[in-house]
Amino acid sequence: MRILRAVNLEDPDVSRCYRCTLLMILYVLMACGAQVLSAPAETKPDHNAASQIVLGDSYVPLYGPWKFHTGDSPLDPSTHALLWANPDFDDSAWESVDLKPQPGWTDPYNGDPRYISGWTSKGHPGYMGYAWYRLRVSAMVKDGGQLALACPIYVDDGYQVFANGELTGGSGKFDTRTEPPIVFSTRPVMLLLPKPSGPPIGQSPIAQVIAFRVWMGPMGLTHSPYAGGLHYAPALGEAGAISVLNRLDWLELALQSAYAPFEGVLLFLLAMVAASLVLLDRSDSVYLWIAAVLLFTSLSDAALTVFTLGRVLTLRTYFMFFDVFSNPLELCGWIMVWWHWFHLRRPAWLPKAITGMMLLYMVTKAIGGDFFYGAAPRPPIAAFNVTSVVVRLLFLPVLISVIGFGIRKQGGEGWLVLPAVIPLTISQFASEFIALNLPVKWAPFGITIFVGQVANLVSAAAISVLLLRRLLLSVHRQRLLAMDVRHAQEVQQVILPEARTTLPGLLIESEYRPAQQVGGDFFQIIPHETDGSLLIVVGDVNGKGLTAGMLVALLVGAVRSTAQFDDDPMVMLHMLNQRLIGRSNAVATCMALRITAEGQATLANAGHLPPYLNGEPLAIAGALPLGIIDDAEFSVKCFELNDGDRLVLISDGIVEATNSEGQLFSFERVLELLRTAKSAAEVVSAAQSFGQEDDISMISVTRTPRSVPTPS
Amino acid sequence: MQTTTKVTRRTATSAIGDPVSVLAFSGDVSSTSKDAILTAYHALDDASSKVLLDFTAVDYINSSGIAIIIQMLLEASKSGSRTIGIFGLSAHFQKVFTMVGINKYAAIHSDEAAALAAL
Repeated sequence: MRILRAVNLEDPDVSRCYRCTLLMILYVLMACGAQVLSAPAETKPDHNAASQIVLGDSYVPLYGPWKFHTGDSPLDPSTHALLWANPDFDDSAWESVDLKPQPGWTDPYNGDPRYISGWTSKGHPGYMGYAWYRLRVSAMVKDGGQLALACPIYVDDGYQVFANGELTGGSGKFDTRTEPPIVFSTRPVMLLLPKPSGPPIGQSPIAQVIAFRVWMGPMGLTHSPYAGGLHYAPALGEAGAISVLNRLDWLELALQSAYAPFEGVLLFLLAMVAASLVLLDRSDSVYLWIAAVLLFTSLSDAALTVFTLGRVLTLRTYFMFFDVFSNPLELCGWIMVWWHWFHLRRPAWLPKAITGMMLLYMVTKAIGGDFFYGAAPRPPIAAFNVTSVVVRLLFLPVLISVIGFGIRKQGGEGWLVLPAVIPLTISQFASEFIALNLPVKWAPFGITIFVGQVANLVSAAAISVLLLRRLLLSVHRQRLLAMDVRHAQEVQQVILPEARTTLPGLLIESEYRPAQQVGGDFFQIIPHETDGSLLIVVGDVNGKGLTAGMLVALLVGAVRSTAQFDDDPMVMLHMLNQRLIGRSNAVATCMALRITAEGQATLANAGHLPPYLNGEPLAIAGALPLGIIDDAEFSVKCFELNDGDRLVLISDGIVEATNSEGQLFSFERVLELLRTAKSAAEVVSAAQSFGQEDDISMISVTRTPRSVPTPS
Repeated sequence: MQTTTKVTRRTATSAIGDPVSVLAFSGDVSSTSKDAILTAYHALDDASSKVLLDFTAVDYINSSGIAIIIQMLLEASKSGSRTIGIFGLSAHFQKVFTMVGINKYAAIHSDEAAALAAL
């Protein structure tokens, strides 16, 4: 004797009972829980509790066979009523369809075993439009009871229900016969059947003729290989039982619909996290790409929730959003995410090709999906539909190619994206799985789990880990870079002269304010070891930052090594020019000045701003900067520095400091400041506070009386 | 924030009746302007023997931008068959252009009329 019996979930009735039992247990547990919470500390048994058990409220699925006919009913010439709704209409010539579920066959989208395939897989492939289902049934209810009908929870696409010729309800707006009905997502509907006139209820069975007028448009036809009409058997029963059934159906719908908002919130939060990572690493655009795609996916989830549970979005509106915008954008978006993830640059045409594919997919889907049905002339739907399918499938090899390029570029590191890419791809192409009859769900422990949902959750988890890892690596790289910059800054500080230097007969002040941590301005002050002369070299390398700083290090080294054997200003400029010629984007303005112990000054200039002598600009011919041409001719000027004379050399960062209104600090302001004998620090600070754009440097050389040795 | 450089080409007539190609720059001229400027210059046909560079709509020129202008002028100088003039610069940038020796390769004029009269 078998004590234990396995529950056959493949049998729809058994499965139904099983799920109902689970739900009833849930109700009872909730009720018990509520009672425990509200119960007083001490309770007494209620000996007056009702001991009578009432049975009889029940319902029966109307499996049929139903009479079925495609097309719409003709109208009665006099009453304009639909003739096929009339209970006396002879439907014996119509074909018969059985709405009894087949064992082992479940709803491909939600796993419900009550699911039955539609008319397109039952002898009417490709048919869309109106169709009628009629069933003649006799039922008897107890005195005072009323018959009710639980309409199918899933119908392609909308329907009207007639009971004994009387319109009792439905789903969708069937206002005219000339315009296609406006249909929404079907939901559990309970209809009270009108009480027929005649003998009192309860004495004899009442004949009921139930007719469903169903309409399916292109949305239903193109979104399931099993489309067409009723997908669940209606249920007839006593109103109380049907009401309970209706509530159960609603509960199931709510449970089934709960995943979309859950996923939407999860992806929205992940999108916010991804977007916020840009603040930590502005150089990496992939965070914004991921945030954008996740945000759009969460928006799609929100739209699905509104469509399923509300009456805001029609079937056409929702599928137009999903097919024409959401789906193509997600397909294209994820490929672009991986393109940016791997920092791919080649083939350069690929991003444009992907965008083109997306637009083509959108257009062909809009036309091929027949979203403009009812419009005339009707475009060649099939051709566009086939094109849209081909374009959609083309995304797959493009995705694989991008991942392949990335793995080839990054090696072992590239493989790490696969835990995110594979489930995402499965999720995006889940509809192809259904079309190919591949398993898209399984039900361990009686709970249906869908491959698309699992894939989305796995990919969300994988993306989270990948983002975290990428951020940590980025932070590590930034720390190393910051360390490099700090080292470069330290080197630059070492090679810059002291801010205030006093030499026999000369007082030198210098100020240097780089625009970034490492600057492109440079100057060197090199006293001659024996003859008492001084060589000053100032310059400004094009650009700023670390690149300019590296060039500065090169030039400063060249200045110091050249000065060891020749301190002639022209020789210095030619030597420095040779160092820059042939290097890409290596251009610098430069000025070399030699002042003898007697105050004779020789100035050679390569495009640098002329110096100011006692507050007036020194006239010197213009000359090309260093690094432009090999045989450049630089300008030269000789003059004398007398006691008290002040020579000021500035970089263009001072005159081209720019305020928030776009005004330049200008030569005029510099002139004004120098005429009032401001110190180097004051001039530089004035320019810096005006609006520093570039490196700023200034050197002030003041001739002081040389101390005459006292005769002993 | 720097704005991108745009270059438009038009044709004018010099005071002596010769056709003059005018390359009008707008926006900021900086290191990112290299492609726009050199592409526009290289697009001039060989028959354009007289060229004017119009900086009237230029807001700012940095040292890298000046280096690009110099590179273009040196190309013209090497070809030996093209005369280039400049106009539309602010007083500040006229001074800067002179300091870096651009005036040795192209005459700097205050406005278009003066530039056309000089060609």
